Amino acid sequence: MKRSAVPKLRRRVGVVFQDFKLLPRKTVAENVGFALLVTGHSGEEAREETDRALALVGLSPRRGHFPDQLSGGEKQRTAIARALVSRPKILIADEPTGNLDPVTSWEIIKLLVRVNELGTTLVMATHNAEIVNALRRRVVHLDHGMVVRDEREGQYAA
Amino acid sequence: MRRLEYVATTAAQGFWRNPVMSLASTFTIGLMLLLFAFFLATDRGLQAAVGVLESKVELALFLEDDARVSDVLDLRTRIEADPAVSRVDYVTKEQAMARLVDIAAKRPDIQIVDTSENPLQASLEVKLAHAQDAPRVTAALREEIGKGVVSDVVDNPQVVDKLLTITRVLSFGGLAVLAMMLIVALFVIVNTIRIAVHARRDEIEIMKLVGATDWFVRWPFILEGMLVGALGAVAATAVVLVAAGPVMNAMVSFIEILPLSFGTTFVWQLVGSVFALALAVGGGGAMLSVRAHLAK
Repeated sequence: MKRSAVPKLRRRVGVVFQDFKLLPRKTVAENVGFALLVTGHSGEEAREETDRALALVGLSPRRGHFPDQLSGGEKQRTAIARALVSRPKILIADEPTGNLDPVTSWEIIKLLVRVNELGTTLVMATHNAEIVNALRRRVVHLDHGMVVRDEREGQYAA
Repeated sequence: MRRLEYVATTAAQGFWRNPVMSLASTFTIGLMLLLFAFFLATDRGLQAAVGVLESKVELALFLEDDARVSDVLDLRTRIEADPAVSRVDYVTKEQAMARLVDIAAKRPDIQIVDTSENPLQASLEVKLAHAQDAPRVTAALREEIGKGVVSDVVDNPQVVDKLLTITRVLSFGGLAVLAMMLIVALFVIVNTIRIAVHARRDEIEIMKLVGATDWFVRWPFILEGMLVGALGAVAATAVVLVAAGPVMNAMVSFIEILPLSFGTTFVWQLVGSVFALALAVGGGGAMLSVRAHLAK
């Protein structure tokens, strides 16, 4: 694949991380809108899509806050809104609950399930057995980079 | 429009976020440009001087008093055929005398007492197009001595020779110093931008993550580099414009024979070259710096 083709592809894939990767000097809305502004969208477009994404993750009232003023769950919801703002086909979540307490983790998982129900493919990497077992979705078990198991309604196996 | 605004704001922010480093690189670039401007001006001055002296390079062929006019004219035609020769003037005994009288009239220390007899020789004055050809042409003309027409060949090209040597040495030395300054300026710019890139590394990471193109990431930094370059150019130009008058006066009174005043065209060319180099070094250095970061 050519190096110049990568950015175009990335715009169609949303990514969420364990450490949120939010910009501390930007507000919630700015962090979300940033993804559109740096990929050549107009300010108006960015505002509309940001409003939509923030409403989806339930953060509209916190739009003017800075990341430091948010709880862990709110930070991750901001990150999810940023990943969804460009309406990607796939959302990749890399340990999205790794830094969150169990209750907040469940909130995030519920949100991700909703995103999935709205038509976005969700690929999540996690070590959280409870979540994997509760979701009863397709589970691909990786061991040292090798696929060792792939089940339609899988369970967590340590 | 929105994007242009983004690029401009980010670049300006980058510049002021680390003012010490930005000003240091502005200063370095300014110094380099000042040297560049000085080099251009000196080179231009020397070239003008060489041109003036070259146009004065003359060989004189003194003619035998009893040479036949037809032979002299024949010789003149042959000399004129040489492409290195720009002009040949025939000066008769009478004209030579008239010149001497003319010169004497302007100088109270010389007095011509008796003009009844004319000891001066007629001559062919040969003007050369280029000073470099003087030795060859002189040698060729010396062959004519003793053949009944030419009695002596006089030339004085040493001055031009020396000047040409000085020009060459200065050009080479100037270029060498300039090249070193260029490398230093580039190095400082690369480091300044590296710091700016480092300060924004999280932002760049996220930009790349959400699919911003490499060029979108690059532009603010290239603009910041160009901003540093342009500020350096403004500083260098200001120094040049302030210093130009006094320096020029000093030079003119130092070497009176040289017409060392540059036209406005040259000044604009100089300013243009300075800004072009500044933007190239600033933008180029930034590009190198960001490229190194993006390649990681």
